[in-house]
Parts: sequence; structure tokens; C-alpha cells
Amino acid sequence: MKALKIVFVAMLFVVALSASAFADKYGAELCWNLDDGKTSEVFFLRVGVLDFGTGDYGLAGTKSATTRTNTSTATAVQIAKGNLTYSSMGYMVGLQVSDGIAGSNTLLVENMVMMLDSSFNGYYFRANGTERRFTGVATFALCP
Amino acid sequence: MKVLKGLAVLMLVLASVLIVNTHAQAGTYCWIASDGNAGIVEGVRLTTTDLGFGHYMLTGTVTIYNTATGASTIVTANGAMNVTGITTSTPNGVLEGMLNANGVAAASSTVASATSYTADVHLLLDPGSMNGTYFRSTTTHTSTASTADTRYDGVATLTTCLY
Repeated sequence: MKALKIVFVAMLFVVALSASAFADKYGAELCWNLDDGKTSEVFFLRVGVLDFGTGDYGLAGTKSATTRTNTSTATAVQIAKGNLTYSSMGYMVGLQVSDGIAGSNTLLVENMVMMLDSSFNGYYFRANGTERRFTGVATFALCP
Repeated sequence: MKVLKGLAVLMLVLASVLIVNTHAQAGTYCWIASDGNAGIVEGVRLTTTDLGFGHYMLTGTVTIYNTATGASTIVTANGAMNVTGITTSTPNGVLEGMLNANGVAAASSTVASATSYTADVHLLLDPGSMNGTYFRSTTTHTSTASTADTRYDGVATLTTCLY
């Protein structure tokens, strides 16, 4: 009985260590709702996090663009990558987003910067080669 | 007593799963890429880091080989890849990625005269074979101008990494 208790405690310890290592290595998944007032279009940013251990974090994930009209709703998934770092201005996120529309003549790569407070809410700018710059609100969200 | 035994077994299983997940996700992959740019073949070497949730980070190099002259240029590349496009007909989805590559021309003799290149690449890979297609758009930068190149559509074939 005593040996079984020891085994049980050891197992708990291993699980705790493994869970910690998993969280350290893979971080969490972070999500934001993005709205910059572009007519009928909203975005959802969803990124995985890699902790470099220096206060800098690598990001890789997707930005979904949902367009709504009176008669339809369409969502396009774009690929996003970048980094997150902490500075005196709060959390700063730099991202590049590729829309990857195969039918277009040129690849559209969008640059984004997000300025976030300690609750991970804030605002952002995005710009690409064909549209004007958009300024919007980034709201930290639960990842579905 | 029975409950304790059950819990111990459950902990053992959980620990095994977590340990396996912690160590089995990273890898280095190499592709031969050809996109109709005459005389040019590209070798792509990328290390993938699994961030979980279907997100991957990519870092590595692209070696641009001129088959006519034998000259080669190596540029750095970084990007992201995700599992997308999961439907009933494609239950495994596709690996969709983006890469940004940056480098200078090998012939540049000084930093001041160097021509630099930036390339944006969009990847679509089959998750089973890791083969697929890609789209590439390159811009050339000199001290006086930035000139966009044509977009190229190419094929990426997984191959063995030489190092």
C-alpha cells in the first residue's frame, strides 16, 4: 500500500513536470478578434507561441477574414507569422500575413503591428501593397 | 485502493502521452523546388517547430542554383505553416505555409553595391507526402530602386537533406 502511494506521488510529479515542459516549449494558443472598420469584413487571429526564453516569442498561425453581405458569408484563411515582445510601450506584436490567393497575379503579403496592454487588448495597424492602411481594435479572445 | 490503482495507471498513461508529445514534433525537411524560371533550381531546407494546435514555425535556407553557370546563392528563410482545408473529402487537410526569404547577390563585391532580394512564397503541401506546389514573388532592391519580378508557380518535391 505504501509502495503504491509512493508510485502514485511519483506519477503525479512526472505528470506535473511533463505538463510544465509542454507549456514551456509550446506555449499557448492566443486569439484576437480584429475589427478595423472595413466594410462587412472582420478578422480572427489565432497563433501558436514559441518562447525563446529571452522575453521574445515567435508566433505562427492563421488570420481568418470573414466577409458578410446581405446574402452570404465567406471566410478566407490566411497564414500569419511574426513575433511578440514586451517593451515600455506594452506588448508589441509584428506579423506578416500571406493571403495566398492562387488566382491573383501577385502574392499579397500584409504587414501588421499590434500594440497591446497587459490584458492583451489594444489596437493594430495593417497595410499591404494594394489597400490603404487600416487602424483597428484588437480584442483578446478565447480560442475556439 | 482500487481507485488509487486506477489513478496511478491514469497518471502513467498521461505522463507517457505528455512526454511523447514533448519530444516528437520537430524536424528538418528539404525540398527541390522548380518553378519555370529557366536555368534555376532551388533547394529548400527548413526546420519545423511544432507550436501545437496545428501551427508550425519554419526557419532555414533557400539555395538558388544556376544550372548554366553553376553559381549558387544561399538566402535565409523564415515562415509559418498551418493545417488548413479540412473537409470531408480532405480529412487530413493541407499544409499551407508562407515563407519570406532575404539575401544578397553572390556577385556583390561590397556592401554598398550589393543587390538584395526579398521573396514571398506561399506553399501548399500534401501532409502525407510533404510534396506540393508553391507561388513565389521576388523583389530586387538596389540603392536606387526596388523592382518586382514576375510571380512564379512551382513544384516542391521532398528530398533527403544532405546535411
